[in-house]
Amino acid sequence: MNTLARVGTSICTNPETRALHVTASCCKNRAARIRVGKGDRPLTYEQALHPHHIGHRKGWLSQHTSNLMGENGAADRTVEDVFVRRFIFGTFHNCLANEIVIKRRGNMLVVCALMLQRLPPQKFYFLIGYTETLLSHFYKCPVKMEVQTLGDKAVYKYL
Amino acid sequence: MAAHTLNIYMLSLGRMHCHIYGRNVHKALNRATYATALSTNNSSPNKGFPDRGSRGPIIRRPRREEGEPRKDRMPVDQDWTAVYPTAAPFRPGSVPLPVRMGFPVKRGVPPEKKGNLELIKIPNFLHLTPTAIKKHCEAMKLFCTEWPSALDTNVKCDEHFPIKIECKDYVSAGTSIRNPSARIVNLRVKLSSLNLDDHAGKKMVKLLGERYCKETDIITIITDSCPVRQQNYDYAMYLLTVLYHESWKTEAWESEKTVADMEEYSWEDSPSQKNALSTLVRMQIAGEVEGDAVRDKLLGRPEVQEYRESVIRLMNEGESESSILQYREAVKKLLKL
Repeated sequence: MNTLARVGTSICTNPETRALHVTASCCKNRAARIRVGKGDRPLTYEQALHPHHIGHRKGWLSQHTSNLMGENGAADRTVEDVFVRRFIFGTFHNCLANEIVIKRRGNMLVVCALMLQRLPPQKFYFLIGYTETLLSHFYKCPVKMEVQTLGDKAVYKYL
Repeated sequence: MAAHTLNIYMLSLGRMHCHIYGRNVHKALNRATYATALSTNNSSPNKGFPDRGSRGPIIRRPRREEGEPRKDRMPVDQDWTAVYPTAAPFRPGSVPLPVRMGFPVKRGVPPEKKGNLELIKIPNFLHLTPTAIKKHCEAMKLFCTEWPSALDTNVKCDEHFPIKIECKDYVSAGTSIRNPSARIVNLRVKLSSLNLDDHAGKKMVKLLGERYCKETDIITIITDSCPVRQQNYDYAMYLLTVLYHESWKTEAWESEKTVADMEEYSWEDSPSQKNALSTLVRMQIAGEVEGDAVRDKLLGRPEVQEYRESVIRLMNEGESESSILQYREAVKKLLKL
């Protein structure tokens, strides 16, 4: 009871003092990395390779000319990419096998997607047409979708 | 109390065996002990599926099998331009090559092409085989005309078409195809190809300032002040016309041109001439009479002419090994050293 009382009179109860709580910093990089687990989790090539392998063992998911010297519009293209990825992720719920690849040819936006055969083909066609029309009207440029379907995800390794 | 316990036992029994005996036990227990609002009237044929009300039962069509991929039905002599007529991402079912791409797993091979995102990411040139390019050329030939046979050398081209216009078109990937830098027009013409006399040429050079390059004798006019390329081109041609006509005119204030405005060094009436003549006159002062006649005679002498040439060369061309040597020889001859 006495020790408890002493703890009770520490900084937190005294209203006129302040303190800073610190912990030891964890300098590990956690970006886009799936940590090693039991060995039963299947990973695609995209998930298995970490971001520092981009340019060495991985390609780029989105291609446009705005990041070249003297070109404009890099920020606009990035925002478009993010929106398109979220839109497609939500529209084709649970059907995407891998990340989406976005290519731009002139002012045309080509979205290349790998899908799983979870929906009947008629539903796929409807969703593809819906996406193309909606995004074309939204971005005022032709949007095309190139969809390939797989039976199941292509596993690269198990972690 | 006894009846109550009996009911409880019946309840637990019912719960355990409900899945075997179906609805009947459930119903009996419901009447006895439960006070739930759940309706157990399961009349739909689809057990476990949500109630669709008046729409009727869900008709599940049998899953269609996927067809044979195109690569298995390709003859060896097929028309590849029909498979990839335009730029398209990589389709593993349409390309009959056993391509593998990616970093291999330890003691493994690169992943195969089916479901390989890396092959889709990269740009491919499957639509640009030599056959395809030949077809493109054949189609474009309808819109092309022959190069005129009379213009076979660069010299002839310059002679007939001295004005050269340069414009740039920009291709980029984005929602807009317009680029404001495409409005810039670059006009180049050689000064010697314009019909200018001595005064007009010098005035033109003064008017142009840094738009004229002396080494190559080319006038460069770059216009970008108008928003449209056509407007910039018209403005450049207008500038050239105005420069040409203005340089032919002689204004009243041009007569006030001083020695400092001169483009080239001229030896006549220069301090160098005065000094040389005065030196020569003093050299001969013992022998002959002074006067204008002496000056003219002195000017006529070949050594003086040589000195004049060397000084003009030094002043106009700058100091170099040969020009200084020439000046040295001329001075030696003049002063009879």
